[in-house]
Amino acid sequence: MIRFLLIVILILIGTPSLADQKYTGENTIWKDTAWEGDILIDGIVTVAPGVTLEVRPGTTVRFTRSDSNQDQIGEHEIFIQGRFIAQGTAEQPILFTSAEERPTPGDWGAINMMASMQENLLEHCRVEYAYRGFHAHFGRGRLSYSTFAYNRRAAQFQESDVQINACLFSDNLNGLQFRDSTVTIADSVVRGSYWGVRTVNSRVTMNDTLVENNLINGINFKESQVELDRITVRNNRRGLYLQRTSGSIARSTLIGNSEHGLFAEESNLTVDSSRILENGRAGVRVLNATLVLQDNQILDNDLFAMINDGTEDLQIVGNWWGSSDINEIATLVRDGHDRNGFGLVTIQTPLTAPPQLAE
Amino acid sequence: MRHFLILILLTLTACSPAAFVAEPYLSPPPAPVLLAPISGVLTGETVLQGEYLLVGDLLIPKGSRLIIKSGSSIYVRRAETTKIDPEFLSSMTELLIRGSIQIEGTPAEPVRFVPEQKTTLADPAWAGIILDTAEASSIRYAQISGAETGLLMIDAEVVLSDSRLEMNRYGVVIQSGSPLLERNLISNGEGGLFVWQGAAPKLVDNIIRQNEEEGITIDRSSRPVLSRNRSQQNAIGLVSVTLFTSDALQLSENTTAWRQLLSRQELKK
Repeated sequence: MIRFLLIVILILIGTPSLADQKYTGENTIWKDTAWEGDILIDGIVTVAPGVTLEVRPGTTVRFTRSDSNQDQIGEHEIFIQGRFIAQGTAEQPILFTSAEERPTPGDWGAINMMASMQENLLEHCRVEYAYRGFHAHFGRGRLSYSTFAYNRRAAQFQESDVQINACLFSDNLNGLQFRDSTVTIADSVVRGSYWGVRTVNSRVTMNDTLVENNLINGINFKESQVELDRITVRNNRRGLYLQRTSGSIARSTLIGNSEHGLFAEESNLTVDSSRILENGRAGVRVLNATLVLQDNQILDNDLFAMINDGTEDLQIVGNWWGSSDINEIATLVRDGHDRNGFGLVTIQTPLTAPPQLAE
Repeated sequence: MRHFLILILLTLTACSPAAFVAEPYLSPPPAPVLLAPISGVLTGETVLQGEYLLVGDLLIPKGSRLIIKSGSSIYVRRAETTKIDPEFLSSMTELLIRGSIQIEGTPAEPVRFVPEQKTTLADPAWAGIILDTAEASSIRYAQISGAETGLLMIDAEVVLSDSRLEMNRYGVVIQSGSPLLERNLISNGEGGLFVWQGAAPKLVDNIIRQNEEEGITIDRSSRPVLSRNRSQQNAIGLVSVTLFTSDALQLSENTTAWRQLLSRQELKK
């Protein structure tokens, strides 16, 4: 019995819980700590290696603005070298926000992870008005059921392993930006940014995700490997832009983007069972890419269904173009027939009816 | 003393835009001069007069103003990295205006933005001038070339007049907002003028010509007001839902005069 009571006491006092705490200046947390209530950060809080900072449901963490070098980037932040667990609930989410009366994006720095390879969690959180909402170098993180809004960059990471599930990235200057990372994005929405998703040299699995209304690019994958399934990319200036990237797109919809639905530049790509509809300049634009398009609907794009801007010829087999008449389809294609020095596009055995695609 | 003179000569040579090749519409390249490098963030009011070398991204933040006096030339250096900095919108060198810009060229002394090296439409040297929710700005008698987009206006309050945007991949792109464009020439690009995403510009007396593909594109959501514009000698004169009266827009000598956009309802029929 005494042993049981001792265990209970140890559990109770093991992780000190700090409510309504204020941190001023530079602080380092040296032992496992839990936050709850209202936390005000008027400085930089560092979580030491081997230490866990837990943020409990319903907590509000506010950051004051400090911009000592006048670069319009707030410097106050949480810097994690240990582990960070912010697990709210649907009923009691956790809020990370600016303490300013009139908050603006970039008021505070970041939830910033450095060499934090234990799994860090943000679940049922809202992160707003940061320079970088979630930021990691050599980190592992799982973001789920969380909203990132009004940040300069919602999430940015390098050399990290990150899982994103059921998150909303809305009205940030840039949405998701990462390099040299392994990333899974599922059931999420990225909208209202300049760049929605921007990656370099990463391995990306994305499914059931919507990327819309981004002013410069919906998605740009550069030198990456991608597997995209059931994604929707719509109403961006540019839709899905791949540079020197390999992978596959399946059961997806690229619709209503001002320039192109899909632009494959020096990439190696398979696109199947997808809709490429109602994009502005081109449904598919290709620049010296190896492209397999099969069982897609490529319809109602404003200028061209397909543009070959490269010097290499393309053979495209088995898609629905709104017609099965090869001559009619040829009018939807811009290639070496229209401009000297460009590769040809040969359309073969087009489908005679729209393929049955999942809604 | 001799060493000192040689050193000065070497410095001048190294900094000159020697590799720049003028297009027919531009003045010859300047004699070797020491160009002042500019980049970074300029706060407050900055006045440029003379010749400068844009060596990296330049941001004019909200509340700040950049004034460029007549006769000035801004040479642009190509970016060598794949930087993806959050404050900027392109991986190429860009002049990004979130405050305001006043370009005060004159007919005799325009303000020129010219790549340091020769470019092609497929491989532009810089992003161009981006007015991103810019405060009241005016661009008069400017010459802009070699850019991915000569002028990109995103919901910006701008008057662009008497300017020449030539040899840019896209001449002018307007995404939302209602700027005024008067008496400009937009030519020799891949595409000329794009009016996208709910934009409502006023377009008066502009000439859009000799673009490899579209002269003017107006998407379904945009509502420009046109008066006395001409679209000539483009592959496609106009891409739009509706055709304009000849008082608003004259289409001549285009390979295809008009490519009609069907409304979404018509597409679904």
